[in-house]
Amino acid sequence: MSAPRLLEALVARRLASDPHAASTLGDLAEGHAHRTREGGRVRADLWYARQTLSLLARGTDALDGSGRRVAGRGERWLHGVGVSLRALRRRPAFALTVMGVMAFTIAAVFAAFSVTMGTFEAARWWSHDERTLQIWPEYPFSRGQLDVLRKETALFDAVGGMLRRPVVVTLDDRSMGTAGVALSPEIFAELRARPFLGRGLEPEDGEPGREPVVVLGYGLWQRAFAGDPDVLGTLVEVSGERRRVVGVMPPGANQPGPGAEIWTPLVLNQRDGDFWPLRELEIVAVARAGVSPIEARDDVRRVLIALQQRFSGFFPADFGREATAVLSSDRSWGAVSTPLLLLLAGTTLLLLVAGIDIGNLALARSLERQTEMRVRVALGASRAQVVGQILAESAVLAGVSGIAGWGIGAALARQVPALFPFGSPVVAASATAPVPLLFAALVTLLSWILIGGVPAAHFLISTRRAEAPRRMTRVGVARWLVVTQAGLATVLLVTSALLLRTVRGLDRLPLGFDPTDAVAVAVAPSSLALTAPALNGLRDEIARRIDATPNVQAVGWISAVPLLDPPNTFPINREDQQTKVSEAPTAAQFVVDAGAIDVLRLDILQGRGFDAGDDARAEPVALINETMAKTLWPGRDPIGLRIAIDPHDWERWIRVVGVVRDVRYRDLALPSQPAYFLPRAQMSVPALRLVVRSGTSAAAVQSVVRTVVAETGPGLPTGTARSLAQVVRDAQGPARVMTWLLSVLAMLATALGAVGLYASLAGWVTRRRTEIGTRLALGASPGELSRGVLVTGLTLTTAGVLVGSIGAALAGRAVRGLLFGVSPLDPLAFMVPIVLLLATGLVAAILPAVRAARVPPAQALRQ
Amino acid sequence: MSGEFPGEFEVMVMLAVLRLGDDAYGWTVAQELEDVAGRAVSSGALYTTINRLERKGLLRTREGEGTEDRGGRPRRYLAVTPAGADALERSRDAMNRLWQGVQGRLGAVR
Repeated sequence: MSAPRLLEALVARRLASDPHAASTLGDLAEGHAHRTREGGRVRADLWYARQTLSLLARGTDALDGSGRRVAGRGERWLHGVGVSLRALRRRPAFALTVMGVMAFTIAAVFAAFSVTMGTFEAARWWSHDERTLQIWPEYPFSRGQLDVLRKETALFDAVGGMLRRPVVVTLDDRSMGTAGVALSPEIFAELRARPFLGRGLEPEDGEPGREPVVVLGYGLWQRAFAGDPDVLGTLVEVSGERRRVVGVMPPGANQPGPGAEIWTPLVLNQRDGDFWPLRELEIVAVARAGVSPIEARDDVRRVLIALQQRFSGFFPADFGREATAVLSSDRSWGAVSTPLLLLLAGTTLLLLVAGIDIGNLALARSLERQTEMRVRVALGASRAQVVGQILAESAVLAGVSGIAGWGIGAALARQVPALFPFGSPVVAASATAPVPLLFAALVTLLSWILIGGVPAAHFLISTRRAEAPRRMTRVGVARWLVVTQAGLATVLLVTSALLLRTVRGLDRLPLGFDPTDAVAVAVAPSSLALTAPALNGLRDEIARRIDATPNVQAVGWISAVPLLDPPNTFPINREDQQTKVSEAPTAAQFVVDAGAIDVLRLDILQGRGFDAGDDARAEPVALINETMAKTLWPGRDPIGLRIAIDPHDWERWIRVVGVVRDVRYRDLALPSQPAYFLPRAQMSVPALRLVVRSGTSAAAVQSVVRTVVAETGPGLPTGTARSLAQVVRDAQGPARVMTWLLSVLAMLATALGAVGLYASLAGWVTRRRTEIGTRLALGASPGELSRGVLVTGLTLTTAGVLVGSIGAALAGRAVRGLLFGVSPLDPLAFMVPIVLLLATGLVAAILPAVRAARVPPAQALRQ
Repeated sequence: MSGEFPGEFEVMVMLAVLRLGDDAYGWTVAQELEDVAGRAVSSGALYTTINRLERKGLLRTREGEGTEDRGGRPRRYLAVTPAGADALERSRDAMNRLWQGVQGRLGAVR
């Protein structure tokens, strides 16, 4: 039994200059052999490890060849750490402040890099030799259009669709929510990542009548199945549908979308309204080798324009002309690159502020400890020993902060993707991803150099001078640092104030409907081949039963939920000013019932809403929105006027019976467009969404709807319930996320700036004690001296704020794209942070000012 | 040697060396201290003490042969010098004198 080689090598290195090293190693080997025989290998190894540690720490105190003591480096180092810990325990406030500043800075750096790198890497996964394109047809797409693209484009290997949706996975009696992707199998086959277990989705999986299958993400497989390799073939329920598990994806393959973990074949039912636009349907295609994205785009445009020309009444005139095709990897990265790069920029500013803070604190601390160090040198410690102690002390601080920062940063990074709207391709890298770790380590190292290097250099310089100890008076530098900090904090605060104003502006926009407590669920009875009246009856029945369940306040059907589905747009013929179809104005169409008007709390400004009398036999009626009333009949009362909307029956008149307040349905930031509402009983539409207002959660509504639908019309697919409040939040896009993240960074920077100003002023007062004491003794009033300190503090802050405002104006230009309804030079967004920073500067100066006034003259003079 | 007294651990190491006679070297001394005195010994402390005792002239060492268990490495045999024997006796006598008459008081303290 030989001793553990690594430990033996460690001991041998440690005892390199010990003349008796061989016999000591021999003893250890003999002891190890003996203990192995007595108590087994493991106990012997543990014993050897303990002996190694004790030898590493103490050495053997042997004499070398020339009779000098061999003192181990480890011994000195461990001693230094012990002394450092005692020194830190004497000044807990300093240690805690420095560690807090460092840990949070390291955490911010780690989290920012983790999310940026994770998202960037994931974007690359979601591509195939840079040939996977995301096609952006400008207008929402439908299954029918996808079919046309598949058949008629010439430059693609595969064209498919994708739907990203939250799903609920049920296994036995446990359910968990995650992100799901329904993807055309022919596209899945082209993805870069190969399955980790089993197989991926294959083209046959998309054929009608095949057993429903699912491919799991690595994380879900670990969580739900504890990584069981026998998972293949198991049945799981995905949002109510039983599917057989056929594969598991490798770790990190969680695109597209935030941590997608469920892949199912996209099957669009033939009867599912061929040209009903599905807002969430995304088009993904793999171009042939050698085809550029521009050529691919032109191919798509050609096909779509031909389609528009064939059905000119159905598609808008510019349909297909603006279609774009973007590399998938660029698109998933490009959608979030601005917020993420902004996050990195903000973190960098924070890093600078924190670095200045740490350097300032270290300088102040080393000033205070000059005397202690000189005493140690006088007692015989070498300069190298004192420097060693400073470095050991700072290594302990930096090390602890680095590890804490890493832990906090990894936890933060995991939270960030959830802040982005659903469907954003933002993911955090793993806690041990190399690039974020490298940066966190770099920041830790830099912190160590700052808090150790500054005092060490200070000590070396000051002890080299032969003359009596002179105090360093680098006030000029310290002041510039404070000005810089205030400037950086201004940039961050103003930028986050601009974004805050944007979000407040979006929040305050009149939506025209009330999303509170409202939930939308897609139910698609169109897959049963029913006649229009039968379908309508079935919908009535479903609504009636849901209305009867407890907690439900209102329920109804709508063809397009605002901000969730795009409505169809049709040409409008006015009875009083008739035009040709091709010259007619257009308006968006919503098919609703009285229940849906109730759920969305649409505001009827004039005339009446719909009621039970507006059925298929009654006169066709419509409600129009304010914008439509104003643009089509400026200055006239539209009630009682008649319109026609069907290009194939251009004189089928519908009477306007009411005017509704404008509803934001397409985009929060876009001005209102003309829109009208038709009663469900008078207009047959293949697919409608159910909207429910209730006091319960979206999940509870979903289960009620699923139960009722199953009882009423078995086999009806029910989609996932979406809370309308969440839909509205998602529509605000990345502005809300950025506001949140930047506000946190800005607040941190302000707090750190205050610490820096305080440290600088407090250090100034400490250094000037003698001067202050002399002036007090000579009759200066304490109030005068306090004011002097306050004025210094305010002057430095003001200078910083002024410089920072220029930087903030430039930063405002850079984030213009994220702003809405607020100018990059918004006065309020500048004033509030400036006042806040000046106030913070004043508060930070108060304590040093009070201390200056309390300097006892006699004591100060004695020093 | 003047009136210098060895420390407690130094005394224990020298006594172990005497008890082991010709078989005293690092590993056996550590075993002896553990078995007889019931004291677990860390290598760092043991070799530091042996080196210090050698420096003071209370122990002398010589290199011996290696064995298979030791990977052929030499043994460093230990022996107490006359000065070491004097120091041990001085230490024991001082202790004995101090112990006289203490036993009863020890009981009283308890």
